[in-house]
Amino acid sequence: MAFDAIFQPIQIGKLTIRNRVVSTAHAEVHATDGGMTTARYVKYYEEKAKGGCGLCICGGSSVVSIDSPQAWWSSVNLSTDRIIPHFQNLADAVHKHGGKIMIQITHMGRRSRWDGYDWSTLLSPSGIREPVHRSTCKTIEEEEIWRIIGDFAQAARRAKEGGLDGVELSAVHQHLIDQFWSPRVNKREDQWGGSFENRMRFGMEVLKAVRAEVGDDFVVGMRICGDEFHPDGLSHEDMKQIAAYYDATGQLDFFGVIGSGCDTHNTLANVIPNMSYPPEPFLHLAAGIKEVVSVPVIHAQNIKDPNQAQRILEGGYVDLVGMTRAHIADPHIIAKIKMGQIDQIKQCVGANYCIDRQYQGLDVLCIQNAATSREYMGLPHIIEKSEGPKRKVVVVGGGPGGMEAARVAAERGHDVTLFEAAEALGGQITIAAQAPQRDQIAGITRWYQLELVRLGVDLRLGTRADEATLLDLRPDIVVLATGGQPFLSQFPEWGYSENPEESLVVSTWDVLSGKVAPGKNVLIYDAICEFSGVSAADYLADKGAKVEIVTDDIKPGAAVGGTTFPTYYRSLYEKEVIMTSDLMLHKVYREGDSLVAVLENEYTGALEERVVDQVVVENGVRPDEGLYYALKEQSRNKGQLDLEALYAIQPQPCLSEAGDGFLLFRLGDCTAPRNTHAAIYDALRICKDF
Amino acid sequence: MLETLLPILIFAALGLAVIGAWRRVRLWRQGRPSAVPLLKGLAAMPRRYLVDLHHVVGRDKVMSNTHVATAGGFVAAAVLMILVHGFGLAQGVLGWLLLAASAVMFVGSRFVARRRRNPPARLSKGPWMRLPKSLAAFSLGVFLITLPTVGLLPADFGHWLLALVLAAVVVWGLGEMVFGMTWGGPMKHAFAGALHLAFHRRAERFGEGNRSTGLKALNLDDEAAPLGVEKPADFTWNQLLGFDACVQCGRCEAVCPAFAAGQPLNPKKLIQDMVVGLAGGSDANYAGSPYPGKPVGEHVGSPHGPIVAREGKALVDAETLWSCTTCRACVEECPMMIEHVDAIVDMRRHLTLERGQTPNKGAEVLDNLIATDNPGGFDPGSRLHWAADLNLPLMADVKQAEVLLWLGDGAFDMRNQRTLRALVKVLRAAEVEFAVLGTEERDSGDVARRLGDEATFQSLAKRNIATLAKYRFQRIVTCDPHSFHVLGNEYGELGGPDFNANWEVRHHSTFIAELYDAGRLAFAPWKGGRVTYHDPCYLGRYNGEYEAPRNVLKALGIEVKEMERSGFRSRCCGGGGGAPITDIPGERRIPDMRMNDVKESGAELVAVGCPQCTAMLEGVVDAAAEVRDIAELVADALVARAAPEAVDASRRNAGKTAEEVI
Repeated sequence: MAFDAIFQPIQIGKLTIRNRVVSTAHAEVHATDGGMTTARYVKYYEEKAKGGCGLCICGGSSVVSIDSPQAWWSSVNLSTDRIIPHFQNLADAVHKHGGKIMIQITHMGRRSRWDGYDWSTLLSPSGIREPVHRSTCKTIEEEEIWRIIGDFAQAARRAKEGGLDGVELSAVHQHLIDQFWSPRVNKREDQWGGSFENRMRFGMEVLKAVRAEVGDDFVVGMRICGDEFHPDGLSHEDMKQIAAYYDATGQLDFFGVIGSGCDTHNTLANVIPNMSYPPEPFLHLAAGIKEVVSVPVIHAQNIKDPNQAQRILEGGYVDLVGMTRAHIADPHIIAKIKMGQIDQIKQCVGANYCIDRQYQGLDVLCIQNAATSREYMGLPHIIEKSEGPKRKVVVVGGGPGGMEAARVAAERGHDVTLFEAAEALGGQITIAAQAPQRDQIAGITRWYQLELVRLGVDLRLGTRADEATLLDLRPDIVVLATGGQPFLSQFPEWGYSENPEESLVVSTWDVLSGKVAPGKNVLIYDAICEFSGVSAADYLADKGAKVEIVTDDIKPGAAVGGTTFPTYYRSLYEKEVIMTSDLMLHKVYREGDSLVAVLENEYTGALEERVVDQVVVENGVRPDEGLYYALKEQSRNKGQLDLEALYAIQPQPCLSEAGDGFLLFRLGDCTAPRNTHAAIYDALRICKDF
Repeated sequence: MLETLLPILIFAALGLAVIGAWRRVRLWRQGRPSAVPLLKGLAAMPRRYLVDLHHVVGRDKVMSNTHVATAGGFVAAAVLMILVHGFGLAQGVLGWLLLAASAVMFVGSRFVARRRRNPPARLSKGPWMRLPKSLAAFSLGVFLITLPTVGLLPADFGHWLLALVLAAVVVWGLGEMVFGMTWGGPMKHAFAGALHLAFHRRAERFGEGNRSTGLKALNLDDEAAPLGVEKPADFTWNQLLGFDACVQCGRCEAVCPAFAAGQPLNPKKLIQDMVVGLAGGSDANYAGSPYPGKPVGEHVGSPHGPIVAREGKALVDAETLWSCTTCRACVEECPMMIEHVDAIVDMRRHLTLERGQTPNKGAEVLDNLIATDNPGGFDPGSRLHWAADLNLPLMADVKQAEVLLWLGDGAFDMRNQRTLRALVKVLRAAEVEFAVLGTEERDSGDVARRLGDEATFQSLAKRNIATLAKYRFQRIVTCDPHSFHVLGNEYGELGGPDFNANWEVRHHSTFIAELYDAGRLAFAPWKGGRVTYHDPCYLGRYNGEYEAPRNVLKALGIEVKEMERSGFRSRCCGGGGGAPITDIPGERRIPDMRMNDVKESGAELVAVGCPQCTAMLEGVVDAAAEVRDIAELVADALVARAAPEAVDASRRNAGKTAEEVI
């Protein structure tokens, strides 16, 4: 039987898990009301359980003590009994669908922020600063150690009383337990530092206290890293020793293993491997831990595909696979595997939009699935067929917004035609996927392509829709998602011309799409600092160009998230790309065969020049509004959205109003340049009621 | 002159017929013994003929009336002719009756002739094409020679030449109708057919509402008995007699899914090959449709020669036997009550048990069954994996329950697991007290038995029987019609008299219909599209359950768009009898044809009640309709009985939601 290894139940402690797939602990940033698991939180996990997930370990970095601040990341607060009834709601919602749910509990020690909310004084074994959060801290005192050990036990009690199935002690990501473990951070010379046993003591006392509190019929596991990847940190052999040491107590029911420490930007990027990583890059570390422990081992990190999961489980490397981002992209992944609908799984592409939002303290969202985390608002993962009239829906533009609009309208049962000027679907995703290490983003398009064909959408590729063609189809609804063009004309001094022969600058799109051959000596001016500038730099350097990327912002790629800019930097530095900040592109002029770019220092006004053979400018997108204004006056709703209805996830009132002619909606970059998620979200919330 | 000639002719024909009958009986008696009560059978014969047989024939009204006129006319005319012209008892009303009988027969013969004018492909040609003329000759001849007898014509009417012509016509008629009956002419069917009805090996199938569809067990302890049928003489004598009754009407051929798919099977040809085998010779004289892809005239057989050659060709090729899906459409249609499926399985038993020649995946499946008690070779301990999160009560724990939920091997199949989960949801909604055997359950043995591996079947059956005996329950409910059939109809022979004294087996559709009727289930109105229903062979033809699934669909608010072939004429999905395992190639696939039937009904969804059917129909590429088990449709439509207004919108929708699919 295909995927039989996935669908083998397993015992963890006294708990039976229905299959081998886990949504592992991650910070959802969904706990409101002072860290309570309220409606959004519950619905988010209920959807995974409904979709067949075996075990959800919720609440990455849920705090046990009040001096481990929860508010920065809206994490779950187990320091109060107030959480218990909320846990009961959560447990019921997951159990109702046959799933199991546990929670990760921790004290973050130094790994937090102090400059807000309660202005907590952060704690760590030796008071050493943490660079990622720029957090300073005090050296923890004996009394505080024992208080926090007690807090762990009370937190576990609250989880148990709330009906959850277990707790996972976080000794990973440089939280307090592994801050004690790591000689890099623990320089103590008392009974809590120094020797192996001393460094293990805090975690061991936590485990003993927790087990004593909850008894034997409640699952207690521990998440550890498999190697900190720091020369002065814990190695894989150290971690095997630690795992075996804790396992020998017989008090742990499972281990979760993650590759890499994460107290630097560069190691943090390993923890949630983005699309530049190979599949399951750190499985060997988890397998190494499995060799030395007697209880089930869970491993998550870039496991996104059922075949991959089956292969890992069949090989016996670990006992359960974490498919956490896979569930964020598609909470029904397990159901689809069971239904034999492998091609319908919306597979995570590793864009890391979810985790990069989380590190900014924003709620976790999926770049390609706008329903995820919005279940509580009534946004559906499964679009139900409309019971209303069948409509003729015409979508213009095959980028993410247009593809989502066509998909949702077709799922509603309408007759959908999609026009795309290019020969293939994808829009800007197609361009983005040309950069080195970024090809997997095309997975977003791949899924839509399969879905649109499955749903019988009339795809008119290579066809630019004009007003007449559109109206010939006698549409009931027109959705414009025509995107835009690179905005190079903002400053005449840049010398941009629509005639490529005359233009002094080209766009990152021109470069990435191959429309313009790579220069040999290139200046990239990036006013946006998102993916496109660094992608173009990486692409050009990859083709052998000497590249300097200049920005007026604080650094190139400043708006690229925390788990992705490091992988760009690794590549750019290796290819000797020069990264320069604080300079504005003042002017470009031609001198002989070369181009001269005049740059102005934002802070001193000083001018400097670069002599190059190609100037690439990334200045964002200018919306393509032509078709919209051609259609606007003829449409019934004059192209307007009812924002109150839109934000309340209610149907647009014009959909139920009678009248002749068509309704007109526009979304995505043809309205204003935003991002992939924004386009898909608008498409979903507008079209779900068609 | 005729008065002198007629008795001679009549008694000569009768005498030859007796010799022919004796020779024919000797052929049948080459078969192995079969204990049937001879006199009781003969006594039951008229009723079996007039009621049971005519129930089948009567499905075609024109043909039925034709047969009544022709056969009734003939039997009456023949008896009266012997009295009137043989013994010269021409006085009184007998002559007039003879006139009337021959006239009726003549009319019948005209309808037979009409049928033969542009005969459908299923009808055999050859000698059968002369039959209407022979019938006309006999009836007309008898009519004419009787006219002077009753005085409608003068006794010396006409010329001696006319008398000679008349005599010739009568000789022709007598030759076909009397002599031919026992010497192998088309009229053999009347002689053999009557005796076949009397000595039928399944006496229990006759009578109102009775059916007998379970395969008969091999006595594996009898060392003298062959393991299955290697040569024609290995059949029991009454099976051989049954083959001889074939009237070559081809109704079996017309309904055989394997034949329609272009696989090398034609049930009619198979029976005729058995007739060739019992008499010895070649199939060259066969005048019907051949096995698709196999020319006629290349096969020979003899009563004591192998039916399937070990090398080269004999009477029948093995792939013919392995093409059968055991769907019983042929048996259901056969007006002569021939048991094709029994014969095929008998021959398969030899191939599997004696020669180990189960083709393609057959051997692997049987090995799996022997090693793991399930055909897929899955870890037997994983039978309940699909229900890890359902906390199903185990019989081993509870010892007794109202219902024993029999899972079947669909428990290992991800598609069927959805059906099982839906069924559990339904049972729980109706608050049925049930339990499962869990890992104590084994494959029912259905596939092993139909692949000819009687030993593995009996091994599985005996162990299942012993397990069932440990627990107390009132009903077994299963969503698998194959398990349903085997538990209900085939275990009894092995389980002893008290085996199922305390319980009954129900197909889940029957049980759900009962729950609904008892008010234990309530459904939201159907909002989906058009629905048709596919009758599983092992539920319908094998067990006569056509109504309950339709009643459940009706209760769901579904108006079933029937396919042209539905009910007892339902077309097989291609999944029975191990056919997907032996996988004999044809020109088309059976499930594709069935899905085309679905398409022609205009349905967007086909409701099924069998894991095999689901698998086969869902395997159709680019299918026009969705395939869903009745349990799934019911589970989707469930609403709380007490407070229907409390149902939330997502539940009302008939679409697939994740909750139901996992």
